[in-house]
Amino acid sequence: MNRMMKASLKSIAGVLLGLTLALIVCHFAGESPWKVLKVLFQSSFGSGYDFGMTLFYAAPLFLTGLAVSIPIRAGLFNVGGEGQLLIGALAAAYAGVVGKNIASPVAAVLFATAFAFVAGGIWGLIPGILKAKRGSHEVITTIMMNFIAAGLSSYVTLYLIKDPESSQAETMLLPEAFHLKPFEKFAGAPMGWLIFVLIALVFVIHYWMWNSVRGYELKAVGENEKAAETYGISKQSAWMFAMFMAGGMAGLVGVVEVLGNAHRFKLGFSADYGFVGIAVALLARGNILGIIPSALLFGILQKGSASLDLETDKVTRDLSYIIQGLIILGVVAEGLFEWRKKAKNA
Amino acid sequence: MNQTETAIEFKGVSKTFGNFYANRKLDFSIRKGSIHGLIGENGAGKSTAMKVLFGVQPADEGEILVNGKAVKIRNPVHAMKLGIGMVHQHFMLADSETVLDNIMLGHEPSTFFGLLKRGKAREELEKICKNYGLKFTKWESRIRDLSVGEQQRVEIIKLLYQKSEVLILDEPTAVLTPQEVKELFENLRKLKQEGKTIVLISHKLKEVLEFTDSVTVMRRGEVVGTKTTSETNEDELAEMMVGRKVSFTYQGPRRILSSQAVQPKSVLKFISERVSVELRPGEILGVAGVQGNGQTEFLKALSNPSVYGEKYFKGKYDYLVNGREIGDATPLQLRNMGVGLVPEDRLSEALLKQQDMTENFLLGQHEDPRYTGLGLFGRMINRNKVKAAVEKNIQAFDIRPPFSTVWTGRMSGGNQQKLVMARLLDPQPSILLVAHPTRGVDVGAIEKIHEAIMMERNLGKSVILFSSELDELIDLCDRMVVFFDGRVHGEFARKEFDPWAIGKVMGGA
Amino acid sequence: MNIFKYRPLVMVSSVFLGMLLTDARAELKVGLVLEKSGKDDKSFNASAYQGLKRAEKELGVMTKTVEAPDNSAYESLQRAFAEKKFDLIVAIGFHQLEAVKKNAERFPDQKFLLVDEDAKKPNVRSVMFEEHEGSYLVGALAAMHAPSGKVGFIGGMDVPLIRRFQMGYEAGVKKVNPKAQLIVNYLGVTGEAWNNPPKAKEQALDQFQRGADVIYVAAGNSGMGVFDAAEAKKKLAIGVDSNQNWIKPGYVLSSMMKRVDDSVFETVKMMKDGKFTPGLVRVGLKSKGVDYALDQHNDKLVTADDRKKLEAIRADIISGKIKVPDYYISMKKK
Repeated sequence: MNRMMKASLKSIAGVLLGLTLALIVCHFAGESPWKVLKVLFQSSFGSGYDFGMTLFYAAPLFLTGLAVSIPIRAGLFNVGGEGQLLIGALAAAYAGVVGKNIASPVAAVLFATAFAFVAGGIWGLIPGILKAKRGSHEVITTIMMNFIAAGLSSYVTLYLIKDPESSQAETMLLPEAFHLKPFEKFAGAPMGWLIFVLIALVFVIHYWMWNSVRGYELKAVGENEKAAETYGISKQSAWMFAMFMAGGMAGLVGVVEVLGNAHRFKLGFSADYGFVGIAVALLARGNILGIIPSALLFGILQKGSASLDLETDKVTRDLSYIIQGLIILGVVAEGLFEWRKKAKNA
Repeated sequence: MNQTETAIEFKGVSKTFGNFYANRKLDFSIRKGSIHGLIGENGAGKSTAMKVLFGVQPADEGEILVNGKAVKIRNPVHAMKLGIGMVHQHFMLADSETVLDNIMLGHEPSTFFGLLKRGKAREELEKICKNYGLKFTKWESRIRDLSVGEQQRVEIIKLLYQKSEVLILDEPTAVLTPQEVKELFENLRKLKQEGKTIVLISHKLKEVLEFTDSVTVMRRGEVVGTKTTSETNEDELAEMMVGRKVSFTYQGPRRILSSQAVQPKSVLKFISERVSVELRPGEILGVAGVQGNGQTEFLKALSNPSVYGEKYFKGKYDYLVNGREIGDATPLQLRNMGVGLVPEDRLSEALLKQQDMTENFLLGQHEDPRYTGLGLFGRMINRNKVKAAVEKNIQAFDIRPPFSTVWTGRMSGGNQQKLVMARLLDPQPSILLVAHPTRGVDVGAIEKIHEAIMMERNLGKSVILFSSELDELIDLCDRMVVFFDGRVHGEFARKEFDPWAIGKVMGGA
Repeated sequence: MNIFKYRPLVMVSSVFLGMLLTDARAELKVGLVLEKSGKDDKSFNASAYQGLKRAEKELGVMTKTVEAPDNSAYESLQRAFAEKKFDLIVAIGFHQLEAVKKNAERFPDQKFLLVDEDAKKPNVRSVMFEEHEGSYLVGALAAMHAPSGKVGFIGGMDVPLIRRFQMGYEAGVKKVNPKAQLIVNYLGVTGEAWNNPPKAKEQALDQFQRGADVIYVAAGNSGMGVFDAAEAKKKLAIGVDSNQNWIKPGYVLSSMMKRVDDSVFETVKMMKDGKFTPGLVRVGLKSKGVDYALDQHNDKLVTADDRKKLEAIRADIISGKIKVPDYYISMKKK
């Protein structure tokens, strides 16, 4: 589609703009831009392990990207991905406690996945209900829910299902059946078949958003609330549904982390996936399929920020944060330019 | 006074947005002390021309002469200094402030210490009214307590207070009753006699013919010509506006209703304390009234009783369609009972502007089994079928551009409205609730839309037609109810249609 | 984020890298992986960094320091050092336990130093500090300077490690003044708690308001807020991990030092001398792994009499006459 092509070209232009700016900054900091690029590339694709780690960082972003993109369709801005993923991860860990007698790995994984999805979904649904019934602004309520989720997850971790053997803030280790096996090729990076499932999930959500009546209703409400209402689409139900789905998606991060990586819930495991998810969705411009390259890019940057610190003299961790920031800025600034053009023509 | 002296002259004025000429080489002049009409369809460039004159947007080329002198008008304040004033379509008044404060705003006479001299201002205003023969006394009333006609008079007095010599009025009659229109033009004539120049922007040919001295016609950003009003007529102006011959009244067949023989049962009945309306089979029932007299609420209650029935009629109402009580039906249930809707405001209520025609065609039809069915992930849309239906309708209604992938926000008002009509008629409803079908629609499309409505009526369907254009209602309707102050204030049969009498009821008589 | 600020690290490491490229002399290479809070935390990580810098200067080894951007990065960073054939990898903080375990298995010939946790691997030297002993000592000191009988404790994130500080401190306070009252606050339950000086300041002001004379803060970077509050209220604070006396001289009574720097330095020295020994090393008052800080900044605050009493308590703890309660043990009993 022409319009889609245009949008993705714009996103790519934004990324290139940001990257150029970042490399200029590196140059002035005394590091060869060429080397920075090389390090970034090698740190993400250099070996099976590196690539696996990049995918490991990108995987939660697929989900948190969806958690932002789905409600955007319905006109809502979900800032609560971080809280929703904490609750989802906690639920996945809790599933291991509740279902410790489940022997079949398939059943165990499905059980924990359902737990994570529903728990995250409910965490998202609460702001959805508040918005639908009381008109509370979802940005405020989702931020509040983030705080509550942080508190709740610490409490549960430290007092309810804490690992008594560990002096760290982490829950009990899950039974073997709950562990997802990583690929041998990734040589220790905690990522396996799950990555294909997640990519398929993005495609399914895309197809569903585009072709289902529910998806249509979300779109109609997001685009024109009044028209939707006039033609019999309930915005309340659309909002609640969108937020439940969003929360559920973020909650599935629990599967990536708890079943795939740590096999337990550890306080502070998230590299701000919920918030980076906002940038991912922004870069994808609301296009669901766009989340895949966009999440991969941020995975590369996250992986690269540590490697840049290690491999170069001048680019410290802070500078690699600046690079990330500039790339986001490049994308947003391009949007700003667009907006100004529109304002001028109006 | 020298009758040939010009107040304003446009000389080759152009204004472009990108590649698009909003105004192309405009050449016309406005005589001092005259009422000058500026007419054209929506998007013909009238508003742009006036924005250039008022200093809101700079011209790209050409020059504007004020009193014979070329000036570059920088901004509205500069325009006001040059004696040019404008009454916008939406009044620029602060609702909760008094008339006096509104008029003084920006031109406050004050003492050395910044204290306002209200008394002095009021004296001056009373003098102005006396000089120009305007009747106004409610200086201390708040704007929100005034009628629309009175608010408009405040705007005009404000311009006089600012010593404007040229008064531009943008569609001033859109919100007025016929009586108020008459009063407005009487006042404008008095101003003209005192030497003021008046520019009247309008798309209503009748009032332009009746009240102006000369008229400039615009089409597609260009001036088609300037005529002395007394030497032209409606057909000629219309042809200049549209570029071809058009008829303003419905010329097609009108099936005769068999209502005289037996008292027919009504197909739709809405009974409440303030509003009681019955719709008979095969008729077009008009709903007339000045904006804001309860028509909007009535339509909302009719089209979405589940949400607005309670809200506006407090549960004390009976709503029957084909004899069935449907006091709390949803829009989709109404649709399934054969009730179709064209909402009041096309852009805010009927369209998803950033979606294409297919997506818009689906709105309200998104659960229709012709277009959707159960699939792997719940109820799914059958895109091929929708697309085929849209393409058929593009043909049938001559919607342009004829591509189903065009964003509706990028289509003209007329084509948007044709799409809304196509969507309305697609499920073949038996009762049509149609509001303002020709608002902001170009003359060519008006004809098509009127034809479509009449055709449905002649097929035996029943229509409730809401409109603020009295002429449109008189032309199409079989019966008319008039709203005033939230109630049905009068009812007219077709043979009793008389604009003057109806106008009186609209004004509350 | 003042990245353009002159940093000795940048110079040193560029020299190092330059030499790596041109000179293949077999020199000892040490990689340091710091926690998220990084080398500017004026506390735990800073202390490790200083220890390594001292080793670099005095022992002539080459070093490279990295700061992890998130808790999943420890493994790849350690791994990168191992693949680059560094001789010793120093991992700071309990968060790195899992990563060290995995990498120790993957690279059985690689030597590791893990601080604050026990990896239980044959190629890892694990150092754990008896924080409760040091906290007991500063608790006693706090009680000596609290005429009102009220002392405060502000913890960072509510985790067992900080509870351990609190429990030792409380016992120390009660030893000197059995009737003393302890006011306790924790800054939060997320990682943000380590880096929230404004909130720490609020809590400290509140505790001072309620009558506390001395506040012991174990909250990483958030501690700065407590020092500010002490200065504003002309009261006293006790720092943690590094010697923080210099931050607000006259208002920092002392600091409970975890000599991470010494541990790092000594382990590097062992490597250099070829005497690296794996296994768990618990360092407490006896080995001076924890201690209270005494320097020119708090010389006048801690009187000779205080010092005498503290030395007596220290001797009692080392001899086992005083049993300092350990939260880890009490937690496991529960």
